[in-house]
Amino acid sequence: MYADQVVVINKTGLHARPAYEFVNMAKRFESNIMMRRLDGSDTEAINAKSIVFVLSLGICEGDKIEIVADGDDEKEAVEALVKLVASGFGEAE
Amino acid sequence: MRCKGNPVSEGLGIGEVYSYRTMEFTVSSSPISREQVGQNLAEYYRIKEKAAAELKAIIDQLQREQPDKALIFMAHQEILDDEAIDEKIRHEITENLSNPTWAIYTVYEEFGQLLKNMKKQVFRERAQDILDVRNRLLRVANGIIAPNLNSLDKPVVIAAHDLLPSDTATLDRSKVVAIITETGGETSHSAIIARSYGIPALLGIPGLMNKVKDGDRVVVDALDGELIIDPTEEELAEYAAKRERYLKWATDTEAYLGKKAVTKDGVSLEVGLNIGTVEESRVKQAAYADFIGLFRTEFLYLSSPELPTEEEQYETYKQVLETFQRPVVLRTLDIGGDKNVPCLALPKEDNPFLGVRGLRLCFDRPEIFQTQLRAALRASAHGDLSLMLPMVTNLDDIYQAKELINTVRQEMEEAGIPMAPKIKVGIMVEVPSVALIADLVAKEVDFVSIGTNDLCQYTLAVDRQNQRMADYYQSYHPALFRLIGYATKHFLAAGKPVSVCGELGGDPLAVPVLIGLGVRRFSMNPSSIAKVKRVITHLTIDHAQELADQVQTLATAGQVKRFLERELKDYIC
Repeated sequence: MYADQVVVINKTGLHARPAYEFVNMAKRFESNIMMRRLDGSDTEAINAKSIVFVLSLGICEGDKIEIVADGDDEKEAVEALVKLVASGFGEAE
Repeated sequence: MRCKGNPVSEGLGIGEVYSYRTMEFTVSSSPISREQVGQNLAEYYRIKEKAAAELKAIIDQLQREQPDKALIFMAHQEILDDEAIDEKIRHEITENLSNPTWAIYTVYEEFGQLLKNMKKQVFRERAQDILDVRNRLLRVANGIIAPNLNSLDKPVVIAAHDLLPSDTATLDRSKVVAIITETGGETSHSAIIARSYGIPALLGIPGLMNKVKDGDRVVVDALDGELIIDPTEEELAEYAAKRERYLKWATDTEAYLGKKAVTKDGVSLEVGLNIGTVEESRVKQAAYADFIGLFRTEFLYLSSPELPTEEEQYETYKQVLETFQRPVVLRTLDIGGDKNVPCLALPKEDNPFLGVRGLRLCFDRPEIFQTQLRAALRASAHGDLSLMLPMVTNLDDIYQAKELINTVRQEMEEAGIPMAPKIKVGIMVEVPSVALIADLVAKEVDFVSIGTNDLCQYTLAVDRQNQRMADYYQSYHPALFRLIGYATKHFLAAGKPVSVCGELGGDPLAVPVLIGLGVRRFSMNPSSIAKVKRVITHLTIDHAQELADQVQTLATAGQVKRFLERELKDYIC
């Protein structure tokens, strides 16, 4: 199992296009991938490959999330997703 | 048969009904046996694949024609492919022995609820997509072929329970004569689509889908808000003529949209826009308006089970200022016990229109008012924003509201939060008591706006919501014009601008009278702008004053209406 945390920096948060990009990236990996929102009101961990669950976390700009993967490609999966979130999904300010 | 509806997109359409029934499917909860699991799983996958194929066909078509609309269906594809939903449905079938339609129904319902309960609107809106995909699956499961609005073979009147974004994305607008629906109001998706395509629409017709069937001939009069099912030959001829008249008049009127609102004798007036959301078609029309004379904020409170946060409101107000690039008059929360507002949980009152509403409610729940004020003051840093208080009946209301505004302002100043150095505060004149003390009120406010709908209701003792009172709701009652004239005179004498933002302010028959009474600013729905400019352009101030004098000597609303129709017949429909 491998885990890491990252802060969402893009304006839309994990909604609309960024949410879909995130889920599609997650689906490229074999590992089970779970995520949750930290900061104050911690949520339960949800399946990061489910668009509906990801949307249901209501993650906004400035929220911190934790991504946990379990499987053969767990490290690559978490690193790729953290990198994607940290990049701000290419949303220019 | 005639029924009433809410005309949300002006026009008149005559044609045959095409009843668009997407919501019709049956779901049974009857369980399956363990031996049937394999076969039912296969059935679920068959349904899912068929739905996926439908989506793919729509996306392919849209990507060629309207790529932006394809995005709606790509989102649906993602939901259909959702791992968690799929897993849950399989679990329902294999472990709980649900039949496939019941499994789809309950699981989608559960996931839809998950999003429906969210705080932020953008996330809540996605619940609609989930429902949309669910309906598609259940329809496929029932073996019903998708009704398709992109391959209508002749012009039709579309009748539906309601129209969703996914229904209208493929709509062939050239074949749609009119839209009629059972539910939905001014800001529903059906209304927005109809307006942006210029299709006449009548919404909120109770029991519509039981009253019409495919092929029924109907007249959709979205001028006077009436649907005529199976009209007689005489009625048909009458409405065909009315339609011709309207079309000619509308074309002529359209030419006035971009003109300045200047009277024949050269007096410049200001024409503003009433808005209740930030809607694309409204933004375009704002180009022809001088200001946003009424920005209603109720939608923020009506669209969510939770109170809108300061941040959410701030973003919305800022967006309005930045989008419209015009002075904006923001009306603070104007709501009462007649509306069911989940986030406010208002107690039921015997007389909600005479009860805790508007500013009274804001005083009753100061934390809600303060949140809105903070958001508005913060937004004032981004444009020309004024505050307007609704339901003011006496000066104490004004003193108290101003004190609250000042306190909030002071706190924010101390915290170093940026905002406009001065923000104008005005009131709605919609209760006779403040109209009658206009000279005293004028000392305490920066501007006023006359809300003629409520002023009519409160002056004539008529409940606007009560259908049986319709004949008593007389907007042309001479008393109303006298009262408006009295108040306007005193506000103007004190140098305080007066605008009219109720229905009369966008009524080409009433505007000349109001000009005669001294009003120089009007705010209205977008569909009225060209009409009002047309009548203004042909009017002199002298003529307007004559009309105003005459009207105040007439005895009844009927006489006033007939008089104005005669005097202004060249400029109205």
